[in-house]
Amino acid sequence: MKPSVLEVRGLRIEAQAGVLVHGVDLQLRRGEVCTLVGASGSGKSLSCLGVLDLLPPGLVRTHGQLLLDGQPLAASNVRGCLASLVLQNPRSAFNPVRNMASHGLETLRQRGITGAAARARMAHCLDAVGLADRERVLQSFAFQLSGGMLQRMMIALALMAESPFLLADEPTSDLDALSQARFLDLLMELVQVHGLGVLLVTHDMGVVARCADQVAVMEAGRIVECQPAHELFQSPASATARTLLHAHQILCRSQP
Amino acid sequence: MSLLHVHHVGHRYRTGGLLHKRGWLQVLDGIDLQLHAGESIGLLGSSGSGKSTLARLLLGLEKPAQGHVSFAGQDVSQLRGEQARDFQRTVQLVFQDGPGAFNPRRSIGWSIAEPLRHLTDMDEAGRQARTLELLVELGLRAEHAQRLPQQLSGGQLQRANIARALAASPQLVVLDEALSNLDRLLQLQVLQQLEALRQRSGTAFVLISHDLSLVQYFCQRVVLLHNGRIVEQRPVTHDLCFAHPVGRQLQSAMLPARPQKEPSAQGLPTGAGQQLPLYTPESLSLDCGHRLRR
Repeated sequence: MKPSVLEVRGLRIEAQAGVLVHGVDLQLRRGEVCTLVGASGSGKSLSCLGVLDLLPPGLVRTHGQLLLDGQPLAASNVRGCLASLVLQNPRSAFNPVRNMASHGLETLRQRGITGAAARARMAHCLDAVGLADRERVLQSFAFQLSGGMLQRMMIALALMAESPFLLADEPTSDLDALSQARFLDLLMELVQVHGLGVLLVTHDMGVVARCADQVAVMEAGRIVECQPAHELFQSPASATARTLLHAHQILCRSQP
Repeated sequence: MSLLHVHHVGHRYRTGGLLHKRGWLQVLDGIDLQLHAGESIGLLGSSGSGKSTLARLLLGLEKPAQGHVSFAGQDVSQLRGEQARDFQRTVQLVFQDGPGAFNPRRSIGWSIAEPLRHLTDMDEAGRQARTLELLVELGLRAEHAQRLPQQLSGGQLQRANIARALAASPQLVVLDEALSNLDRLLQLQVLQQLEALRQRSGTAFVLISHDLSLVQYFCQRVVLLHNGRIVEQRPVTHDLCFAHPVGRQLQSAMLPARPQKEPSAQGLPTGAGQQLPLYTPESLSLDCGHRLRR
């Protein structure tokens, strides 16, 4: 049976200056979207990277246990196999001197798929994310594609890795409104059809309203609230959630 | 009173590389637009629709291939000397890229005071006072004036960027995706500040954005650009509804105000039963029914 719950317990991240993330617990279920919201600088992105132990130099993960269906496992076994990562800035996430096909082949080689099978799998995944002009995209380098296309390509790579979980760090904040809507549609389709489990880091309550099942609210390195999305919008408990919701509702009130 | 008048403006760029020129790409075509004092206009369009090119032409940073932009009866690209300074005092532009808009070796305070040095005859003390006033107005602190650009966060830098544009008290400020990098809370706070300024001193704004919710919150008139043409222009009302398919697309791309998904069926959360009645059908129909009807 495929794994169904990926969990991190007591994630603690320290820098020389002090503790940045104080004991964060997160739970990802397959077929569900858990969003992590908070103001800038609250430690959302660090927590997301910390789950996979991909912290930038100078930061250390001093505590934090990953559990898969209750069984402990190491972050290095999760990275790329169980969970893929989609980053905010797609432009810097690709190797600038390699084309898209080479990124795809590298990912597939990790899974032991090579040659014609790899080509076929790559074509299938690009179709799944709606990159229609397949041949051109595969021959392109990162600078030749738009932000929205690169973001799709990143998801396609995650699909190729066939990882059941996806961590996405502000995946749509650099995209325009239309690309954002298309990206979120695609993400929700993957969640509903393929049962992907997603951790979505965002500061936009609109994205939360569109996608989320569970919402975790972060403030100053701590999770201050964790609720189902419906209940958070009904009765936010923490001040952070109330402020974010208030701003969101004012900007939405003028909506038709 | 009309501040800037855009007459039949068209613009094109050369495509291809330096050695292999491939012909022309028409990015703007037949644009007619009037910007009035004290009015805020939203320039809406998806990426590649020519929004930023139009902003550059409005400011006279490029000369349009066809037509012209006039300020007080004169072609913007022909202004020289005192007239050009007068134009720059009147119209200011804020770009999207905060870090790229500041001199990395100079303090924020120095950068904000730059338009004051060039465009006004304020003395040093006056400039400092004005800089501090602007910083506070945009929710920054006085000590930020001494910092270097790389010592501020993206959101702080973008607010300093807006502060600089407001320094010489212009009559028109063009915000070219200037709010897109900020989080929702900061977007709202900055727009509230700008709205207060608009009502206090009659500053006009052009908000270039792909985010309809910001335009609807802040603007009185919305201009929809598509493939370099103005395809629709209408006042922003409570029940704004575009006729053009591109406008409709942008409208349907807007994120919902509240969760619309049913609570997930498989993992029924404990206690969901008691919570459900709070989520009444009335509250649902208010939000989504409204959207669907139009």
